[in-house]
Amino acid sequence: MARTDLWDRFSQRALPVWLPVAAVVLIVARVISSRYEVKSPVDLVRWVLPRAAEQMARAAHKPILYEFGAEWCGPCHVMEEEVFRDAELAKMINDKFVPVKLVDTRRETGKNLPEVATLESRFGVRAFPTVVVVLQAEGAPRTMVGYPGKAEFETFLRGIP
Amino acid sequence: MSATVILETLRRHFAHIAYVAAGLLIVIIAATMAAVDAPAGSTFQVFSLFMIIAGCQIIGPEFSSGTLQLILSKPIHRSRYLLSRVAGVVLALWIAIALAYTADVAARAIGGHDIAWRVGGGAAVSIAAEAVLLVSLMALFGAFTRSYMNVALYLGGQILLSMVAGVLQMMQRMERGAFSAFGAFLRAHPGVVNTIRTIDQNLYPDAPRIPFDRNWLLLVFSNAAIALLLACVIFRRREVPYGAD
Repeated sequence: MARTDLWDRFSQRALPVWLPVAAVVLIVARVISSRYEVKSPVDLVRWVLPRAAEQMARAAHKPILYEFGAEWCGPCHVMEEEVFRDAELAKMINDKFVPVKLVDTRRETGKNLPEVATLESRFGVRAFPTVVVVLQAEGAPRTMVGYPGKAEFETFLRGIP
Repeated sequence: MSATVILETLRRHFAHIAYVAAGLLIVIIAATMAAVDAPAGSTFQVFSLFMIIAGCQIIGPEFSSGTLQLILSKPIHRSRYLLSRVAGVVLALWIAIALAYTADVAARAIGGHDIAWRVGGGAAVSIAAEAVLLVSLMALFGAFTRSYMNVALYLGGQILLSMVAGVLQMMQRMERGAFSAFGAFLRAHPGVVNTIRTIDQNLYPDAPRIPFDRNWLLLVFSNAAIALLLACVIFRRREVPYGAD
């Protein structure tokens, strides 16, 4: 009786062998895998550098489309997948606008690139994603804060002259 | 693992009015959001609270109610019991996620909207992986506390880490004023802020940037395995009190 009791007690408190093995295997896989960064698919939109955008827009008589986002921003990546990697919408953006992508890095590095900081301040960007379209003609820029979904975003873009 | 404990955990969830009501609510939210063509994967943003409520009952409340003392008087492996409870809760959450995703896809198909399989599927897989980590952490925090202290530790840790990281980042930028010396120290030693941010990202990871990101999934699963291992190590040594609190 006493022997069975002891065995049961030991057995009851034993650790399953597979658990530490699984933990070690996963940690090793994680370390090896982290050496090979998973590359995101390339956007089909032909982004332009901010400093070149105004000159290009004047020459082509096109509005500038600024897209403000951040690495940590989930909806920004959904928008990338659904809009900027969609062949039809990307073609429309390339044809109709001078597109500029601006990534906010304050959370990661504590500061932004000067051109990002200047444009965020100029358009009062407070949330991500924010899309600002600056028209060639006089008038206030058209702004969309947040990502409302593919269909509504397409309507927003098509509504710009 | 014990199929009996897993099935009993599932039964407890499916027989609980709160689980059924929350599950139905999530399915309705998913279908409604999909019907208005909300961004793919946005349905799963409502899951965090549901996962916390489901995960918090793993082991702590059983200590306090005296149920655990009764269960462990039977010849059952402590680790096997704990892991089976974790598996049961994770399965209950995965079923809710699968239902929400099905509702999302069905509503998009009926409404004639695009079904973004890659983005939506990626979000479903991410939230399913997050469920494993969250429930494992709840098991770990519950292994050395009582009642619902595991939720308090989980939420407290989340708030504290993000707050400390934010404050330190703010101080890092200070070049003048009362905290300028501390700011200079943080700028000279960026490892301090990076360490806190890394701990935060390991325990409470943001959703992955890329759908089905292999590195993100390995981070979540390896951390869950470590949490479960620690939970089992602590739980096997813990004295279980007689009777209820």
